[in-house]
Amino acid sequence: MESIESHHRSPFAIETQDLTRLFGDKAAVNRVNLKVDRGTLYGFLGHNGAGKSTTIKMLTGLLAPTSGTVRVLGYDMLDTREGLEAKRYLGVIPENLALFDNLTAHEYLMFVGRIHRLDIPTIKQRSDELLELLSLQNERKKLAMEYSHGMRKKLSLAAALLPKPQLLFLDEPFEGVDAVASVAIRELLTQFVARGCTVFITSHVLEIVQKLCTHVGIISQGELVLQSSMGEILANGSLEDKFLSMAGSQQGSGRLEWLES
Amino acid sequence: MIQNWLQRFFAPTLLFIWLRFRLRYNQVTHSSKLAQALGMLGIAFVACATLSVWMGGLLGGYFFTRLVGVENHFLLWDGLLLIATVSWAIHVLNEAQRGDPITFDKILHLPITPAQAFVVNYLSSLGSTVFFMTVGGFLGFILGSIFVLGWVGFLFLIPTACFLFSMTALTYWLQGWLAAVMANPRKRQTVLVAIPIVIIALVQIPVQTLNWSTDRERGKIAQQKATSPPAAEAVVESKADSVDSGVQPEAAAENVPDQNADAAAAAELSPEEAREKRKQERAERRREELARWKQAFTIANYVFPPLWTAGAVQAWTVPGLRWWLPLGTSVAMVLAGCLALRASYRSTLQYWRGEWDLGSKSKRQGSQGPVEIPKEVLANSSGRVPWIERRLPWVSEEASAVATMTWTAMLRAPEVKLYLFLPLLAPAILGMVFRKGLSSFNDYWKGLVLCGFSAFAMLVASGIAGNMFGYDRSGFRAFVLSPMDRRSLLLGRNLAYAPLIAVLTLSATFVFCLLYQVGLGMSLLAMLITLTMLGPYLLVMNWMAILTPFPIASGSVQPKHFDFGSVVLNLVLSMILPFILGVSLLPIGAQFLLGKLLPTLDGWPLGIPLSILLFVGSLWLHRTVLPHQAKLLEKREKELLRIVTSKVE
Ligand SMILES: Nc1ncnc2c1ncn2[C@@H]1O[C@H](COP(=O)(O)OP(=O)(O)OP(=O)(O)O)[C@@H](O)[C@H]1O
Ligand SMILES: [Mg+2]
Repeated sequence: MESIESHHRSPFAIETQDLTRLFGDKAAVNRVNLKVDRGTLYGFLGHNGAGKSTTIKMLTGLLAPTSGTVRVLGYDMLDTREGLEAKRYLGVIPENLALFDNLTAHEYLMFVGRIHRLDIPTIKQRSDELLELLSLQNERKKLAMEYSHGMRKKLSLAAALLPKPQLLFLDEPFEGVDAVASVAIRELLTQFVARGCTVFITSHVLEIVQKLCTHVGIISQGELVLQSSMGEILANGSLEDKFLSMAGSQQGSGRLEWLES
Repeated sequence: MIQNWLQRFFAPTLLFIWLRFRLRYNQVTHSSKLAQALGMLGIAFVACATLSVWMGGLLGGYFFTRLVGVENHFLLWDGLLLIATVSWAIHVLNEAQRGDPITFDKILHLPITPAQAFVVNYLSSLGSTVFFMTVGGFLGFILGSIFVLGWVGFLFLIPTACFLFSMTALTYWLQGWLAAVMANPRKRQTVLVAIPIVIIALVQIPVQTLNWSTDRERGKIAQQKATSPPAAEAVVESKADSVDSGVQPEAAAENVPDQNADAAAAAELSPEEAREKRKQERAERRREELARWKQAFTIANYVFPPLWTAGAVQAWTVPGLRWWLPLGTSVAMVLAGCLALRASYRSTLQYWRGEWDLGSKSKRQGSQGPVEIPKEVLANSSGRVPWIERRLPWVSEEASAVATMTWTAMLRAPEVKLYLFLPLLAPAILGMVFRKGLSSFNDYWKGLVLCGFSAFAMLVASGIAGNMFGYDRSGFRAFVLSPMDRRSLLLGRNLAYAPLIAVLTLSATFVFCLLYQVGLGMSLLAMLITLTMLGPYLLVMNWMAILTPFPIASGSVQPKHFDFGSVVLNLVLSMILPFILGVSLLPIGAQFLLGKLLPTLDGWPLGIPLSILLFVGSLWLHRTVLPHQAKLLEKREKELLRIVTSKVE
């Protein structure tokens, strides 16, 4: 697993070309050309229903694109063999998570670890540390279906980190997570990127994205409307201003008269 | 006052009916054209079935009533009511758990009582083929009998409606109660053990009663024989009778050897006289039989509530019975139904509010302070290696991981456990009903029947094994995301089901072999054949799981919604399954043939080597086909993911 660098020629961790997905006639993702450098923490922003989750699903092989190409870590995700190989180096928190209701946290991590061919002592050690870090250590005997919303999210993060991936896809990792864990996760992600790995993250909390990410992409109505480094954006004002100008065009006045009277 | 009532009860009810309708409507309109067309076909089928049952009821009500006479009309009702009760019970058992179209958790935060939603849920639970056919049958029958009995027939509508209401309400309550109990882990185990026992006991009651009545009949015949030499026909007749009434035929069959002697005795009379005498005796016997049934059912109509409606019919058609009695029983049935619905409503409410566990004391004490779990306990509760960490021999690490994880998750889900025990139930019941018949078979037949039971158990278990990804729900995403070879995924799944199904079917086979004294050779052969069936069975299950996945709601074994194309394909696969499994029966046939051709070899367990060969062949087949299935899975996994994680309503 460590020898991955030698395998890839592509400088990009993620590269898409005209990535498109239709649901019926509606394009949820429309001709998106993403380029994410290795070693960056990429924030993927957009309004609700903009197509962020759909994009992540296509990047991770959970959803077939209608057209376009996807390369992740240099592997062609649309090719079954290469896609399978790429999944070795990916950690993912999908939109609705990927937990089994009837497994405990410990069992789930054990399962994920074994799927990635880790040996059992390593899995045990790593999962203990991960659960400790995410303050789930007292909940490991609970079934996933007995977990709270935030706990499920944390468990998914633990499972994503467990195989020591090269690239993390996190769909709203901070949503529903408490402040203490949120700080811990942020630190962890920063360290992770410092090691040369890549993180692709969606979030609606612009403060976190501004503090955390090195690069930003904004998607609106399925189209990628901005892709640049955080430094460039912050040179011309705050991230929020930029986001509102790019994605908030169809916003109403924000006033309800009957609510105010 | 009236306006108030309208606002408080009527308006929300309408709202929920609208909601229910809208949910269903959207479900249909948002599905594919093919699904819609097949859905219409389904509705047409239900309509046709209802109509033909109605016709059957109409003709039966007219002709049978004329045949048996007005004073025996109520016996027909007894039969109808028993059929209705049994088919409804089977229908309810089949549903296992109630799927409420409007779940309370979506409305409990709203400023209305969920009672109306409950009522709507109850009413929509009636929307099943069985119920429509039952109602159609009763209506037709009543109409038919009105032509014979006159206007009094219209009165039957009252107790019939009360019967249908109380029957559905009581079973609705039972289902809700089961669901609530199943939600509680401690009571779960009890229920799982109790349900099969209760069902077996329930089946035993009528079986034993029938046994008892045939024993009595046999005693009577023996008495008659002792007093007067009976005519040959009589014995044959009684045999025919007992077959008609579904009683074990061998009770009468024992008397058959006497037939020749009796025939000789009868030969002393002239043919015409003999025929006349036989006719009279037959009529006499039939009268006696009828009188006996009449007496039995007259009592049953009082004490057995499902037959109260027949009691009502009896009171109105047979002179001398109290006419007000039916009104009393009708009111009682309605009351029972209402009480059941009220209890059901309360337990449903408790269930959704999570109050179900509050009654247990230990839980309350436990919640007084945070429970400290010692670290050592958490690390390793016992010295054993937990299942999830085991490595299976001969297979890859990934396949082991999938197999052990499937075991852990599957055996924890109570609904799955219940489902896996169901396949054993039917053979157990059948075995008991036909106990005597079975032991009179020769070994070849016994072997075939045993293998048939195994195949049947596998067919029922296909609800789980043939939808192995449906039960993963969002967990299936973890498989799609995983870098594992899809062959390992399938292999792991099969390795999880194989031992389970093998243990279930083999232990059942073993018990049967002991009970019915199957010879050692045939017992071994039957077990080997069962094992041989597993390979092809699991292959078909893989195809089913890959091609026809169904989304399953958490805590249930019922598909959340159907894609009709999948249903058809699933049905086709289920239908070819028996033929594929049938190949493994070859050794029994070969052994039989050899025994017939070379009588010296008769009785030798010649099928066993052949069966071992077939078993090895089945393993090879599994190994060879699996990679192809893995390719198919690779191609379809995104589509599968969409289906198993789709949410409806
Ligand atoms: N399975 C589906 N069937 C039909 N339409 C879908 C499906 N999944 C997503 N869509 C549509 O695709 C569009 C993009 O959805 P997506 O989930 O990617 O949004 P998102 O950017 O993740 O939004 P959010 O911030 O709310 O999570 C939406 O308009 C949505 O309605
Ligand atoms: Mg999303």
